[in-house]
Amino acid sequence: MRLLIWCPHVNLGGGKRLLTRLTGAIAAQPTISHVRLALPAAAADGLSFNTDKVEIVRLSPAQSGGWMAKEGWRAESNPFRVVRSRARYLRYQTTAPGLFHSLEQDVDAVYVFWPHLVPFYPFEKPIICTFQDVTLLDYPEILGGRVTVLEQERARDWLTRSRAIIVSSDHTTDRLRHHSQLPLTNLHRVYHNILLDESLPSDDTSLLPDSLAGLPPQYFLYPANINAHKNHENLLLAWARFARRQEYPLVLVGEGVDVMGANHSMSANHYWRQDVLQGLMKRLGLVAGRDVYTFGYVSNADLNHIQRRAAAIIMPSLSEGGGSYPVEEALALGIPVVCSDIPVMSETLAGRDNAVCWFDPHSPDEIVNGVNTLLGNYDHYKQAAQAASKTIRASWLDVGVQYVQVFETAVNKPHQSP
Amino acid sequence: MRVLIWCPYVNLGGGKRLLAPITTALAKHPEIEMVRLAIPDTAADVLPQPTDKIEVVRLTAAQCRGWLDKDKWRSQPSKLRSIRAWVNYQPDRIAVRGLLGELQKDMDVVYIFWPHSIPFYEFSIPSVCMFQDVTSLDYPEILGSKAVAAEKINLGKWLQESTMLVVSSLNTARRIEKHYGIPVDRFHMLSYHNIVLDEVQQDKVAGTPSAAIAALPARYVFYPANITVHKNHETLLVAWAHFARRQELPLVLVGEGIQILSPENQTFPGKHWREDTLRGLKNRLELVSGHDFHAFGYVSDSDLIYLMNHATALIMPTHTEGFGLPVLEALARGVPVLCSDIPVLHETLVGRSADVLWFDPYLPEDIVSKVNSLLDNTDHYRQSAEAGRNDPRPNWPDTAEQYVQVFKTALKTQK
Repeated sequence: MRLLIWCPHVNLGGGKRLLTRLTGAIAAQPTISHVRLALPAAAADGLSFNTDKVEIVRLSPAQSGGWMAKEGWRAESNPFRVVRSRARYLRYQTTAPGLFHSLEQDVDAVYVFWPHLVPFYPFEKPIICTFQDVTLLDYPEILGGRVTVLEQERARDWLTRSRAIIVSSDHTTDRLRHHSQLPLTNLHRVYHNILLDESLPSDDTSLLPDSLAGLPPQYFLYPANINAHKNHENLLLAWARFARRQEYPLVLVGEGVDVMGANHSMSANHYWRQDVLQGLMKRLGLVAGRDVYTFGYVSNADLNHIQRRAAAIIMPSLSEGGGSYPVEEALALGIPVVCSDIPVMSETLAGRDNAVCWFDPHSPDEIVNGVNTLLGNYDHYKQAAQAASKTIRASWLDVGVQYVQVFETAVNKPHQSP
Repeated sequence: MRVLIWCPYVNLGGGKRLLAPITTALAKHPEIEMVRLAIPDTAADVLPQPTDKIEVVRLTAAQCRGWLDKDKWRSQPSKLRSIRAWVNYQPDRIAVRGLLGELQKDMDVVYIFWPHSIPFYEFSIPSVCMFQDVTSLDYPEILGSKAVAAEKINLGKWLQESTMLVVSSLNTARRIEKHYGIPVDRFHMLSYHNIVLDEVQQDKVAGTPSAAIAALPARYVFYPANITVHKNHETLLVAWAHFARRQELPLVLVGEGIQILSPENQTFPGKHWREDTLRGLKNRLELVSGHDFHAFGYVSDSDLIYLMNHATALIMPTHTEGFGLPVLEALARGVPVLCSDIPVLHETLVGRSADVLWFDPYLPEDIVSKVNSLLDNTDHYRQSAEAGRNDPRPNWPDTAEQYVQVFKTALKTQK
């Protein structure tokens, strides 16, 4: 089978890492003869595969950014912006569809890795797409109401016109059915809550780089961006109530968390989430560099240093698609985890749930209780995490097998509208 | 004494409802010769009953424009927009200066009722400035950080230049101290303790409610508040989703913006992140409008009074208030109160005999626990609130007297 992986939009963090692992795993399957991976030029930088079965096609900003221009005007209220947005889309229309058409000519199926924010494109070959999560529909404040309405329409197009849909948890299935009000009989669940980097560096004793010189001796780590569902609010509220916060400060890494740092000027804020978190830090009297440490977006190598030195990983998220990679990495390293008791996390940690200390993420007191329980029984949770690290998990090759099975079924089966 | 009340901006909630009784009470005070009330034409529905001691000056939109226009240029994303915003404001600036000169000419003192969001003006007569709260500084997400920076400068000028500074709670003075370093003892406390906004509007109590409000179930918990972030609808909704008997005791939500939770507003995309946040949360929690809650948006005074009178209880999960009048209004009507255990509401309820159900506004489980306590002991809380109606409390003439004393001090200080 020859496959086009069409990915005009992908985030450069976890999204790109996931795409890389998945593409490699799919290409490694014996029934796959060729994979053409079309992705934004910026995301293609530094990407390589140890097989000649993968061909990389770099999309220009006009070709990959088309989704924003295409429907962006509908979310604009300013007439000037509407016109500009439409002009951009005209440029996209003249360059992109011809390319997409040529890309699918000699393939058997098109796999759409990240249909979120991407308008439906009517490929002639069977389409299979992955809904990684439905966070954008569950939390309309992330994109704003107008854009969320467009995203709902886009999601509906992908759901009704793809031959197969892959999701990474039953929870995502439930939410998709809830939002679409469709039976979605062509859904396939493939878990991929395994390590993004199967061989985590083992240089535990290496010196900290200068960029991490301020890391406290012991801490709870939360790696996440500042989107609404990541729930930094209740975590900060909990830390303000946590009596041992100076002994165990929070370490926050991820895009946007710098706003909670000491040196961030409010005048640089351009997003309401930044104002929310900065205002909350001040009202709670939390001190950056004492109660909370922020490092912003860090490299994988730096993240690895920070993870290994953490007393525990804390995961107060209100919603995830197919589990949490930071939690998977922590458990693989034998680091204790204190985690939101939300359906998707229970589902993806099934069989290893005794290694995790759970809490209700809507209650700051419950978060503090969870943290105190973990600290009060640290050896138990440490041993449980270490035991969990020895649990045999699926590999990316196993995930690749399941994906290719879905592709083959979809190609061989006529399309039925759900 | 002749008093100019300068109020080019007034919010739709408590602020607007507070203005009429204050003006009326002041006009009735023997030492007050005349009150000239300058308010936006759009707020004319809260005008006090006309008397020969009250002169109302209706301000046009251009005359009312506040720093949101004045300082708009500071928060624009492009230079072009900054220049345009600055140029647009200049005619209004000139118009207002001329107007203020006229308005204060034959007055003894000016009372600035709501300095929030209005630009600073220098008056030639003594000025008394009331700081209702500093919520916009505490919660930068309400205005956005760039506008907050402008508001901080603006309030700073009122704080620095006014003859007398007045607050309605110690909590507000403490927050101002935190933001500006001005010691608490610089502020004169002019509280609305134990007064009821609508005492002077008793006729409205008997008004017929609108059909939708008259059709509400007999028992409900009432929360009147707009949807700004500190009103904390989030924790309230999370709590209600955990509250097993919510269909027996639904929430009734009124206030500017909250109508976005009603079914007829479901499909329209939110224009503001607060709308999106609350609508998304309601959907995720699967709370059902008409069963678990009823949301009405901004309602008339008569509807508001009807809702308050018929409520099983008032709930006030707010994170901060300048004073928190709804809890007093509820107790004045014998309606039990569930409220946030925050310093300012303790100030507001000081000396009240009714048993109040306090909860931690950050903990949904605590809200649920207190609502269950209310349900399990409804008679007790109802009787306690009823008995509390007889608590001794000052009336509007007492409040007017407090004001007059402050005005006199301002006059002396200026001389």
